[in-house]
Amino acid sequence: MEQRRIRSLGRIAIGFALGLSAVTALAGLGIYLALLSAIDRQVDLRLQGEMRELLQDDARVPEIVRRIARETSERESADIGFLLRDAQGHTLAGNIAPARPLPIGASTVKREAAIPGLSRGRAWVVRLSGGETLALVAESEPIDQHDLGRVHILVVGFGAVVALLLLGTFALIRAIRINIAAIGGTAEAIIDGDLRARVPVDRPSSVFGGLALTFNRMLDRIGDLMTGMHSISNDIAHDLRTPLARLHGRLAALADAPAAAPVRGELAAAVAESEEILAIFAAILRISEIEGGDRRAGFKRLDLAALAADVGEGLQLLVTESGRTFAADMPTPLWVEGDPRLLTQLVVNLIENTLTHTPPGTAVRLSVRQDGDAALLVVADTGRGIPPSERAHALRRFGRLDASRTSPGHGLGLPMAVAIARLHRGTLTLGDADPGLQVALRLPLVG
Amino acid sequence: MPASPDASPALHALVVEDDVQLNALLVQQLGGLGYEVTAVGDGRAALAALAEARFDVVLLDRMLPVIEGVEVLRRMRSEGIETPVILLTALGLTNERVEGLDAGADDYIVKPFEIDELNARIRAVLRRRAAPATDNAALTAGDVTVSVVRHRVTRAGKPIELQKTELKLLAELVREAGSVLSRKMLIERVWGYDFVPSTNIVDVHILKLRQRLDMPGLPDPIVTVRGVGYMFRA
Repeated sequence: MEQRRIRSLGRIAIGFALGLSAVTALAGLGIYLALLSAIDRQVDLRLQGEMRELLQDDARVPEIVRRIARETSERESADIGFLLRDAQGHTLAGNIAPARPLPIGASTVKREAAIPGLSRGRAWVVRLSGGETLALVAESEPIDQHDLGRVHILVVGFGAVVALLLLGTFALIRAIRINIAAIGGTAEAIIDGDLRARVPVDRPSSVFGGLALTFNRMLDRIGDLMTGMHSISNDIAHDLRTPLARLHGRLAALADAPAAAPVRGELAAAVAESEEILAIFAAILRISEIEGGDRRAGFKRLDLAALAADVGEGLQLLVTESGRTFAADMPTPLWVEGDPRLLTQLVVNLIENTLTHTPPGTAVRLSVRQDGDAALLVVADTGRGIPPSERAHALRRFGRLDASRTSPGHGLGLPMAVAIARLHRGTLTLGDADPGLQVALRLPLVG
Repeated sequence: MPASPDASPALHALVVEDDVQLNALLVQQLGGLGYEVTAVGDGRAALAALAEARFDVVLLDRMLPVIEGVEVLRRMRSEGIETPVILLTALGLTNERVEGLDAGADDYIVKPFEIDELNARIRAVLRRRAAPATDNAALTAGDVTVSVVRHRVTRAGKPIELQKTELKLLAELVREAGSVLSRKMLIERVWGYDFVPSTNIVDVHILKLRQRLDMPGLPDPIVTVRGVGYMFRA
């Protein structure tokens, strides 16, 4: 099924306003034409009535001339034009002289007919038995400059409608924007790890109130699931770590017993295996703790350059003693908001990664600098790097690359670094150090 | 089982652990190290034991039946029982550590742990209780003197150049001279990490420190305690 596309609110509003304006304009035109037609019908009926009176009792021409003279002086028919012409076109009676001949039957007379005082009217023309033509003309404009007035009214009315429409649309857009922003803000807070964020609801019975309640219910459900997963983690920690601790303790005690001398090596290996399993447990629990967002409560303002310098100094010997070179570049203080212990672990993980996955002789470089409104911490090495197609995989939990399967590690160092970066509203990206791998942590600066 | 270099037979430990096998293992291992051990399996029994006898240290599991470990600790402290407490637990998340330490624990060990590590931490807790830290004074052990504030180290009166991390490591070893410090304890105290790095960072620094302190005719002042950590000769 084709998915519906999300359209921009502005485009929807402009389209709506244009559409409604066009419909309003068409409606105005329709009303105008219907009004003209209705007036024409009324004027035609009046002219036909007047014509019947002039011609009643099969009046002859002289009688008609007399009746025309009487009608033109009467108040009720003073606004009607009369014209009686003989078969040759000579005027026999009447009070109008149209510039062009009027057709037999009903027709519209406009300004071109040059009838004084008439801008628009209707004509009713009949041919008499002697070849004479009797024409009656009446104004269909109830007032002077009626069309202009009508246009004026339409323009003002239409303008008011469009203005109201635009105001209403903008008010609607604003209301929608505010409500969407509230939902969006909550979603952003959730993305940033604040899983307790909820959309404030003033009127639960409104459409947006209902949407917000549904959204909040969804977040509650996700929260329950997360809590459940967290409980599972704790249960695993307790239920599996305790027997593992027993196993570890027993193996260690056994390895120390004099009788175990022949298998001491194997027992020591078993102790190391159990330690490794427990280290994996510890890393998984640490990642879920970080992703839970609780650590944000301990955030403080700290100098990332100073922290990196400390970590670099603490690990420098480790790197150089492993046969690699180490260089650090931290020119100026760069203040960020964060948990110093977690950021320390992130930098340690990145440097330890270079030791695990690069050969001796590799140059390792740790640098921190400002990049726009962010602090950029980079750990780069001159090892073999990670191909672009495999970088996303390397950032996933247990996402070890085929090439690194033979080296130690559990594929949890980089995912933990990603979780720490995300907790700090930052990003962690892998790039090319040309040659080698470059891991870049970008954190928002604080004043 | 190796005898701890700093074990003393007079110490009386209360073990509060509901896991029967782990409880028995602790009693056996601590007994082997010369501790007098009383073991109970739940929080209420722990409080009863504390009301009846004086202990030098309490090793308290967190997740206990009847009364939970942290609650036992809170009640102990509210009743004025100031016996040093080390929490032993499978719950190692930061907020759980913070909760335990805030409730009055002196140290916190996440399962599993080596018995020697536990022994080292018991000794460290007892030493800390006995003598408050004197960070500003020069530290001396044998023929080595360390002044952290002045960043100055001498051995047999001769100055030795050390990097900042090496100096902090040596100061910690000298301050606790005669006692074993586990790798985990050194990671916490010298590097300030609340996690265990995957690399042998402590061993590399100890090796370097040994090279720096090496002087013809003088013995190696740092003793390696296999499977546990290091000790500076007193």
